[in-house]
Amino acid sequence: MPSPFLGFGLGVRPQHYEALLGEHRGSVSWLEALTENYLVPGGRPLHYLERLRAEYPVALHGVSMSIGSTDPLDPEYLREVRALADRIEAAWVSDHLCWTGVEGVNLHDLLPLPFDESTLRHLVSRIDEAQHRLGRRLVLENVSSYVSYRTAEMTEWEFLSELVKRADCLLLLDINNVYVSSVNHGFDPHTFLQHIPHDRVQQFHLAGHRNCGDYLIDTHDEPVCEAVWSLFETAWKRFGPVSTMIERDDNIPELPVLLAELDRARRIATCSRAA
Amino acid sequence: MNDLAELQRSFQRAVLDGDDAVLARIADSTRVPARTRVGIYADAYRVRLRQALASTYPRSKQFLGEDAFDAATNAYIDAHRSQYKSIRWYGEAFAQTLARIWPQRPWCAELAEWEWTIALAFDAADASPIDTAALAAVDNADWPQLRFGFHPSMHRICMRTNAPAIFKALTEERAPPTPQQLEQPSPWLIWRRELMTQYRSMAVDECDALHALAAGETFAGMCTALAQQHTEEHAPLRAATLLRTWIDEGLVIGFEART
Repeated sequence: MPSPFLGFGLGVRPQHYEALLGEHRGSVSWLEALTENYLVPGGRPLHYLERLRAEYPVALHGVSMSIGSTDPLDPEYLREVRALADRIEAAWVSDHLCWTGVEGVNLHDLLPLPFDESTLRHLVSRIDEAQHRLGRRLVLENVSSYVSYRTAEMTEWEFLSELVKRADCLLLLDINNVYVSSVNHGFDPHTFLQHIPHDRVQQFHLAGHRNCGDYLIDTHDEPVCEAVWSLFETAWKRFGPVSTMIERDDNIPELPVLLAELDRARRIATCSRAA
Repeated sequence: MNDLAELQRSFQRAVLDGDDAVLARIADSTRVPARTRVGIYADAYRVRLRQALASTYPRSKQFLGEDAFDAATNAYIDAHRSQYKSIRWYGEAFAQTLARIWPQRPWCAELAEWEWTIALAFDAADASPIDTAALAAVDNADWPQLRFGFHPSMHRICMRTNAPAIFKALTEERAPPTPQQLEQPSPWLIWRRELMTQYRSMAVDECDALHALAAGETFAGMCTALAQQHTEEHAPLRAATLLRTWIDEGLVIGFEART
């Protein structure tokens, strides 16, 4: 089962360090920190992470595990992530269900995997190794995608459902990514949500994207859009209280703007519970 | 996993080199063809690396201007693939690329080298500096054999242009001075004190003395290094003055009297 519900949080960015420790201290219930930004020897990033951790529960969210790559997992990277997670007593450790490169190259992108049986088997053994090396359960996020493969043998939701069962891992359900992929690949995002096992969702992400006309790109530089708020309401009703946060990586506004957005998530959750 | 491995290699070639082979594996739609779909990843790859370089080298970008910086980042991206877990390290060899593109404008490469070193000091390991009181208990007889440890953020860097002055002006939102080569190379010290990155120029004798001590020489060894530029009786005095300065600046983190 997932860890306890932490409430409503934000992806912490350096612009907001001081506000979260000062004027707006306690304005969110928890924080998500980008793992790679803190895999540094010392200085300001780790100083602030520790001070924030003294005030808030912190989950770690990575982008470079490359769990789906056919390159070997990097044991040194996993050792560093584990040490950081232990150091700050991370609420949980997440990364993305994707690959980021092969032949030693990191494309620094969250690249989609083919939804087929052999990829499932590949992932299950890799997740097992990662969970063993991390000494904790791994939480994996569905990514936004712009391609799907001709060889797909199942839908993304069938793939995810089977994966969490076989690998005994948890899901970080990114509601925006579900929506972006649904538009890009022409599926119903509600069908996606209906088929995800309700007892495997550790966390929700909310974020904005860019509408490029014929497709959407997951940019995290805009407020959460109406369609994603609506999907969030559906998700809340299906999965119940799940630790929820907003991700903003570009065009980052002052903290109160994000807090107001987070209030909307709280209101939707309250209304959905009352219903 | 051979098929997945081949798919991933093929996809990566499309992103890095614009190779078409992977298109046959991508589901098409009339609204968005496979080429457009893969192109989103190829475009995003370059945008992301350009953003990473702009974030590591903000003053270089300001100094060079948008177009020249873009040209330099494109040349760098063409020549360098990231093998780093964190994109923060991607720009490691950017100064070499600038030196190759603009050999007649050496301040461009030096400004980048300077920014990279500032970034290294920014998140170098933490350590607690000592104060001068810590040395009060050292027996006079032990002084010649004292060895000192320095803050992990400390870097010595030799500049042949006025790149540090350009950096300082841009950081303070002032017009940068006219770039120029120096008649004599100038040694600089970059380090972090608590959370604040610091820098200052050094006299040549200070640079030599610090080099000796940081390389593991004893206090006596440092005096010998200084004796090349000072009289034998003046060298220990100069050594003591320099050591006090470094301690006051938070550069010294420990010492040991080992014979």
